[in-house]
Amino acid sequence: MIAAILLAFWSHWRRNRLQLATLITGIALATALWTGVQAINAEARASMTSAASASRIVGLPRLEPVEGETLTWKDFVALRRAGVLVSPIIRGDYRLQSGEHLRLTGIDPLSAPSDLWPGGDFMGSAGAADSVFVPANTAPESDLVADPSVPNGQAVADIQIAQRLLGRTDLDALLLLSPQPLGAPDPLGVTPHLAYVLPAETAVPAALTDSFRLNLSAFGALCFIVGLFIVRGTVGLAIAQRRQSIRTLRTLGAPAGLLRALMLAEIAIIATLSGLLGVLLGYGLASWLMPGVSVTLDGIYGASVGTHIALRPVWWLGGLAMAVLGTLLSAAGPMLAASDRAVLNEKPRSFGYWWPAAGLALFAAAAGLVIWGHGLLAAFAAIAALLLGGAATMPATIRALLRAARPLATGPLGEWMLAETETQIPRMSLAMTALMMALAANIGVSTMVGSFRESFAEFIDQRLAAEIYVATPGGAGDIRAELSPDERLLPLRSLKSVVAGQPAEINGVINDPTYREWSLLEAVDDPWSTLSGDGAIISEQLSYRAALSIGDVIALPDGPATVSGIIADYGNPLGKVYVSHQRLDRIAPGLPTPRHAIRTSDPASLRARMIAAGIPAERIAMQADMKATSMRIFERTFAVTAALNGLTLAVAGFAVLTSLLAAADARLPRLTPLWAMGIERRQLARLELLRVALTAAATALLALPLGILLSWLLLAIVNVEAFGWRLPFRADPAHWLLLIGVGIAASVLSALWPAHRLARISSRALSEVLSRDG
Amino acid sequence: MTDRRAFMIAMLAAPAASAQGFAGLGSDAEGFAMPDPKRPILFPRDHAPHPGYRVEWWYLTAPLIFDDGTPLGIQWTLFRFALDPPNLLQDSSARHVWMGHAAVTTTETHRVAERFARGGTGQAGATGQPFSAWIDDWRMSGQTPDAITLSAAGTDFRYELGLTATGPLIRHGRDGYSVKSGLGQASYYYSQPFYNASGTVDLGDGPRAVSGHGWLDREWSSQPLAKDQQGWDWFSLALDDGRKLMAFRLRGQEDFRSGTLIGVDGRTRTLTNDEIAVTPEQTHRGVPVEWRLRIPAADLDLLVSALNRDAWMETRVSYWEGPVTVSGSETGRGYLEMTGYRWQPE
Repeated sequence: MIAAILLAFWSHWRRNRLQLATLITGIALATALWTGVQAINAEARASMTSAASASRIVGLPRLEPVEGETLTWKDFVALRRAGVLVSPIIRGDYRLQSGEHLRLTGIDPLSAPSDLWPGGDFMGSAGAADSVFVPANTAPESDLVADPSVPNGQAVADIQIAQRLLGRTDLDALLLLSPQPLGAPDPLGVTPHLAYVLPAETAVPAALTDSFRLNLSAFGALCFIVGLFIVRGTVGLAIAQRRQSIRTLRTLGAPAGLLRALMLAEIAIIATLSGLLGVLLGYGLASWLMPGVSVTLDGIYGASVGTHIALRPVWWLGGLAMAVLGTLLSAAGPMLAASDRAVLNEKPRSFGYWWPAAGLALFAAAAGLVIWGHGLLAAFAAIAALLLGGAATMPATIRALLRAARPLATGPLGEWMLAETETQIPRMSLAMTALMMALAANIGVSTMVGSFRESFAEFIDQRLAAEIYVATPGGAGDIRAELSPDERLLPLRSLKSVVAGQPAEINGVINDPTYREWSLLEAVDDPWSTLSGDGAIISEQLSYRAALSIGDVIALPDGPATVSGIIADYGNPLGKVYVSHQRLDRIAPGLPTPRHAIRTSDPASLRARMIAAGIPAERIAMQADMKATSMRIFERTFAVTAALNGLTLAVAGFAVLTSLLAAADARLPRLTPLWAMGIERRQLARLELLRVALTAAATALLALPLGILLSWLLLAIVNVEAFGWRLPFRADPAHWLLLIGVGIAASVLSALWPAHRLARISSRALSEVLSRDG
Repeated sequence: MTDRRAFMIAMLAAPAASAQGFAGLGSDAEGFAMPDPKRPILFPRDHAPHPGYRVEWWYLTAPLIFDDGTPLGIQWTLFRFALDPPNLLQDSSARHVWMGHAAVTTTETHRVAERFARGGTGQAGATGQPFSAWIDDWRMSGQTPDAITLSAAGTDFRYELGLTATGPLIRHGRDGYSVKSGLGQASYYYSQPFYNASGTVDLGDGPRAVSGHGWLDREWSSQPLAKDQQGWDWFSLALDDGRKLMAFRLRGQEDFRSGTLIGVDGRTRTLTNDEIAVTPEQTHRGVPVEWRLRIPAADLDLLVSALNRDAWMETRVSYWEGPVTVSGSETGRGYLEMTGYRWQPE
């Protein structure tokens, strides 16, 4: 019996190879997107774990010099001999022979806390005392020791070796160990020129990258759900076509329970095989996307991750499990129903009033989360509630839209079209939900990226306003001699200090129109002129971390200063304070000016003049090049998002196709009366296309406000939580229209083939339908 | 540089480094100064550090009592390790790593702290005149070894002691040349076993007065252990009759025993391998914590028992060290140090 049933099942797939292919493709695509994203996530997480260990140093309370003071071994020894347990660190840029730059951290293994570098025992390897420890994937060089506990982009060495390599004799900070000895004195009583620095929570890259990974996960989940719509559509089709054979099997005495079990086993096997295929595809996808992700994490968060994907059970087993469970979940319902009600005819699903009601409740939940929720999870929960609410209210909304369009319809055929489209909503709703989610996600994410890009470009334009930047280690005398009267020299110099308990850079700026072009997030009237008094302009990060706003007074080394403006400073881990050039002179007399910016109307000629005057070309940077580089990094950063966006849309298109294929046979009884009334098959096919286009357009219309709301959530909630930066919302209607067009086009494209089949269907087939139904 | 690397590995790699007794003490000594029997210890010259030798230590142990009579002990240790042999072209002080261990042991608790420092910064060091040795805020200092103050602190203890000598300095072996193996490994070794000690110990509930006696060991060498020697058992005992006894056993293919019996007046008798019989009586977690120590020539048959069996030093180089009580043919108190054992799980 079992063999006979299985044979009957198998014969179905043999006759409907395309259907089997659709099912396998659906499951494989869903699994691929999910596992791909999870693989990237697992990789990023693994890299981040070691990056986080490096950042333990960043996260430890420490003593840093204030007021332009320096920190030396003497301070370290004074504190240790007074009974305060501190450990020195130094950090700097270290260039390998290969040209690769690493962030070198010098630690004192003799005094460092034992868990400073989890998993890293840098004294345990041969040659430890003289070696520089580098990430495992660094090209071998002498004196470099590859160590898996060193995160990408970093290097670790004994502090004296690091000092030698960095050409320094001072130290960056003294980490305060915990716990301190019994009766240890207050360190500031021993070294009054140092200050406590308690690192800001937001500086921990783990927290930041979590949000990015959560973002990826959300994308992955979305893709998976869209994929499951395909599975459900295909299985529904298969069931409809198998109804006859199941009826026959039941009549022949096959028990419903056995049929049920065998159908489940069948779909589980298909799901496993397709899932395996999906995992393979996912691995390929991840390998393709990983370099982009790596750039993203590095670019935005300063956290370096590798570009290779390792086969980790956490994602490939997880992906397979998701494939099987997801398929069973989406297919089990219709299958079980079919085996039970095999002798009855399936009734179309009806959409009661509770769907829109549930949707409204979800919208309310999203609003509540936005108003009262805190943190990234609440933000993502709000996004989920918004999208699900959109899905739940979609059929009712589309129906309302179509009814509103009825007066526009001309002629009986037009009216029939609208009415028919409306009646078909339940059959299309799964595919349209997939399309709507994909479109909304695309609109939301692209708006966020677009807003970010525009803000970033504006920021770059303002910050890189000067036409030429030149390194001036020996002063700017030789450059000044080359300048014509209309060219202006802007000194660029800063002092590392501690402001409001945060590590910060104090920048001294001269009075120049260049700075007045910088747009400030918040400011008093004419903020730059306050710098000649006691005014200071601070960066957004500093204001966020130290909770400073306009009018607050901060302590600078030479006295108090009043915050007169807050300025965006994307991607800088340090806080920034702008004071006048003269004031910086007072704070740090004799502070060198390592770089200068030059305003000129003819940068090319000035560059030529400077080179002719003997200034090395590598010291001169042209504004255009710097801007291009910055933007290139930015674009690469968001290439991943674009790729994922495209993939979701493609999957949604596929979902539309499968649902149309599933409905194709059911469509015939609806269309044959029209054919009988004399409407040609070709026109019927056109009408079908039109119907799909109408449904897709209605869906897209609905996706637009959802997508805009989504982008607002991303910009105003998620971004602030993740980055600490606000981004202005910038509408891009042209791009939205384009996306909507792409969505409709994808649907119509998917409908082409079913329509083509309809146009070529034989008259006999239509007659049969007519006679059967009639 | 090879030596320096080898040393760093031995010292900092893992507690397993204790397999060779203590921190690579059996390593090659090429390029370092070697103890010479023809060159006896001279005071005050040899109170100063000896940077030409690979390893050197300042070691003070004191069996004490709180003012209510409860026994305890404190340990204060500073090691100097040279990273590479002396070199005329280099600043000699920078080539050293210093390691400090401090502990307070009562019957109830054993509290340990450990410090490391690189040479050349002033974080740790030693001088002969005045007599001082320090790492961080831990300090042993006085004009001469006759009267010193001693302090150390960990996260859960702090002590400050004054120690006054009531007898002479003792040079072990032949005028301070102390042989450590049958192959001739040796060190310079002198002690001040006649300290009266008093001060305070704070275990986190405020300083409490303590008193007792103290024992200072100064030792330096470049290769004090033979290759086959796995570790040692070392006793410093103050007998209630006023005599002091230092005895050690180096465990190798053949045990090597040596010691010094010190009279009340400070006169010494060097004890040779055959004159000392030492047998573990009881072990605790793989470490002998009760010993029978017999010196038949001096009519001594002693049972030496740990005050706190759990006095394992969970330091980077780990070993057992704690106060002991002496019973048998004589009574007394002292300190026991045992290296090269594995502290087994209970």
